[in-house]
Amino acid sequence: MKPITFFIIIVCAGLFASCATAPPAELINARQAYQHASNGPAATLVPADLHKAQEALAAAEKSFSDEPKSFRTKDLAYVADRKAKMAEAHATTASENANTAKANKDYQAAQTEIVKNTKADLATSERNAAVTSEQLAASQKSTAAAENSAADAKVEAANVKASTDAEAIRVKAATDAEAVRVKDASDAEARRLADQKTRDMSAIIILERGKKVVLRGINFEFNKATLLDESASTLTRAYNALAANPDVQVVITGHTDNVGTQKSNQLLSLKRAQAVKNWLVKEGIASRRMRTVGRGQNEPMSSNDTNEGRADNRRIEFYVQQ
Amino acid sequence: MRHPHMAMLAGSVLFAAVLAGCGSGPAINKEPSTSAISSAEEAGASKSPSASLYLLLAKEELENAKSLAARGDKDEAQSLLSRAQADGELAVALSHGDADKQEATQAIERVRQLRQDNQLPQEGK
Repeated sequence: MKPITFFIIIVCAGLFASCATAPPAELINARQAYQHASNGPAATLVPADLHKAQEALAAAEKSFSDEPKSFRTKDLAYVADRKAKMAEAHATTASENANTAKANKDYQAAQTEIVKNTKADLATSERNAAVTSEQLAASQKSTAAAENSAADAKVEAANVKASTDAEAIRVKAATDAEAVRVKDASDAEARRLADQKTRDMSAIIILERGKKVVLRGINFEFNKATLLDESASTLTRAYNALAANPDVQVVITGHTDNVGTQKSNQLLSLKRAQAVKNWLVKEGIASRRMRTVGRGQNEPMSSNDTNEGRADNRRIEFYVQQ
Repeated sequence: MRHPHMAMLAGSVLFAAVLAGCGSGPAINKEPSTSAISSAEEAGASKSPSASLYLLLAKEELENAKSLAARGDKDEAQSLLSRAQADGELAVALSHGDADKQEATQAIERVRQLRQDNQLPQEGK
């Protein structure tokens, strides 16, 4: 018989009995306790205990039916109440035992999981250690290679330095030699020019038709057309050349350096050419044989960047006409 | 002379026996209730909040039963002893229930702590 069915029968019996006599408090409590127990986990967890409570309640109900007011009925109902409570207590115990069993099982599962994770971590650590070891070996190898390279580089640097030093010494020697050579050449050229000037200033001036002669040694005051006394020698040689060739006509051309303006240099060069012509005319050369031109700074012979160059550029030329 | 004395003695003894039998009846059986109370005490019912009340009731009922038995109400005393037995057994069950509940709580806490210490997800999470 199912507990609920039994309970309905018991209640009906109780109601029937109550028509005659009110049930004692013990029996009322027993009924409620049994109802509570049968609706709880006891029905599934401890059905045997619930059955005992059922039997105890049935005995109490029977006694109530037979002897409603006897102490036996009250005691049987009291025992039935305790049996129902005991069934619930046993159900609680069973439930707690199940919880304990589940917790223990979970504990074991957790331990298994921990062991598994630990093994996995250990395997990972071993793999990482292997990788680290390989990396360390590679690093050591790389370091050794780098050290070798550094040593090689050091040797190479020493070689390069030695080579560079040798090259520097060689270049310096070559440079020094070149400087000496240039200086020697310059000195030689200077001497040659000086000699040329000396020769020019002392040599007989030869007038060839269609050619140009530079009259070295004709000098003027600064920025003026006034002949200096030192010009007399060259002027004399020019006079001798013209005197010796009476049928020759010349164009006297004046030149300046680039100091001053273009226009002032043009005028100054013309005036200096005329000053030379005037000196020759005064000495007896016919004026008609000489024509004057000023070229200013337009036809330099040398660079105007040096004193020597500018001195060369300040000159008087004879152009022998054909 | 001897036979009348013997007859009187035998009759007195028989009378006394009949009186004794009519006055006390069969002795009450306290063993189940006292055994249940002892079991409850061994289970620690006196220290259990839920069981201590029923242990106390069982003891009181046992004493009341003894009083009733001493008064000659042996049927009522025997019936009352069933209450003492029931309360004693219930005290045992509740004591065990408390202990089992405490054990289950500790087991669950042990699992929770283990999972927390090892950074494992908790059950149901």
